[in-house]
Amino acid sequence: MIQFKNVTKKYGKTRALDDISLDIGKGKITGLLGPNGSGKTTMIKLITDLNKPSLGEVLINREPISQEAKKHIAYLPEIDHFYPWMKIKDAKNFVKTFYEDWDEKMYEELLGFLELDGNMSIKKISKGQRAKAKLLLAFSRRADIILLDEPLSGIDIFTREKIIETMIKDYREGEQSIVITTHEIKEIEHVIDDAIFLNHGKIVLQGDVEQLRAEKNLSLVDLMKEVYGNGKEF
Amino acid sequence: MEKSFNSKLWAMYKKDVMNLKTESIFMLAFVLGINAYVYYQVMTSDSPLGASGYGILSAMVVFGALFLVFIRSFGLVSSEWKDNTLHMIMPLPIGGNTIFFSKLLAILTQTFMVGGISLALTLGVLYRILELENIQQIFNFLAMDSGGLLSSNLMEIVKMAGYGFISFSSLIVMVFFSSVVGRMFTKLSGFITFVVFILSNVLIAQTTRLLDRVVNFDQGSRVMFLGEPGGGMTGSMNFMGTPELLFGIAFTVVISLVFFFATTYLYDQKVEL
Repeated sequence: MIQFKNVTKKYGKTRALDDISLDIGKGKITGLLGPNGSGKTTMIKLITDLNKPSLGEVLINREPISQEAKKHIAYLPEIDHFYPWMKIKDAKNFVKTFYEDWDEKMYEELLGFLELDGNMSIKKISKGQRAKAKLLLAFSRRADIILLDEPLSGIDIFTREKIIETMIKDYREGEQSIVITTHEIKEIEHVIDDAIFLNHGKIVLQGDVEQLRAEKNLSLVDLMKEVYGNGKEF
Repeated sequence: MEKSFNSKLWAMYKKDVMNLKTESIFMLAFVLGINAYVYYQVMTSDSPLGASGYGILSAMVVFGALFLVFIRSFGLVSSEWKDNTLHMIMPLPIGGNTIFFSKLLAILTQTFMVGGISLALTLGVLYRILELENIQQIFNFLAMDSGGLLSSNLMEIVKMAGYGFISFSSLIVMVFFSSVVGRMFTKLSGFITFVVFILSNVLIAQTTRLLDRVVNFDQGSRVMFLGEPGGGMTGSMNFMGTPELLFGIAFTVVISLVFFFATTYLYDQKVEL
């Protein structure tokens, strides 16, 4: 579904991604894992067209990223991306204009589930509520691809649980693909199907989570310690 | 159901108008404040400026307000980067055409609103502070140049206003172009924006001179374009005839379209976060 073909991304002299080739399969939850600066967010930005590859190409359903492809992608950025004047309902009304897969019923349900109110001014709510608001907009669509960039970063444990619950609540296994970047592996270990470990812009380990655990006889957290702690490449 | 282009453009336009709302209110407060000051001074004190001086000050406020709109148009593009809202805009299934057309419409809306209210306030204050005799003198002056035909000169003013509007739109498009070029560089982005804006104006001025020689209009009725010495920031004309006016409009529209599509191409193909 999402293909990286020999993708290199440079910011000045820094290589954020170094000749990456991989396929992210349809209908799975894939974790892009790694420490800060490993290239996780850059990969997400390339899929959303926020960044362009320096070399190679990124394909969605075997086509280069286009306006048509963007119709099927829901994106949750790590940073706050709302306009300061927006209330939650303003953000909703704005976003829903562009997507045919917007599900108003799902929005209303999630609004209650996440304990948010459409009249809340985004500028005035807490960081956790803003994280929930971003999640609300991403999951109120029946998008084929959902990209979540560090959705758990800096969020308290109760909100994290709520976010993960939301992720799996209406997940359409086999149809919908979720790509999540995080270094909070413990919280998402039981949710993800595939894991891709990145370090210094290169893939150091990837595969089916169950298989990786069985092969190495380690949990994902321990695997990560192995990969990054020892600087060892598998 | 397929979302229509119009509904997407409308959503973008509303969003851009909301982004300009606070500064529009500040601009109007500024205009209102100056006009209130002028009115108060003339009505209550023996000021050295006198009624005419304050009248000129009041009229200058209209141009000041339009200049503020122009300056702030740079901010409408750069704030998308500064406030991280580009994370919301760039992943949308729309191209640069919709994004920049909506921004242009929003700025023109702001221009009409701020410029229109400023003008109405200024005219109101002028009407109150100038003696009836002075107002008659102004109308006599307008009528004098065309052999007493006041309506003829008023028509020239309407033509100038129309051409000024097109020139102003063109100027905003160039602001977009230079801002997008500036954003292609991570360092010295603001400086590059400024240099590109100046250079594009110079390029247009040179092209204008060249075309002017080719078309060879009568010097008394020639068109002055953006950036040309004496042309001013928004362009002006000097009692143009219909062919010259049409030529001026056509040239400005073509130039604006070229810069507009160059902007959207760069935005779609080259610009990154």
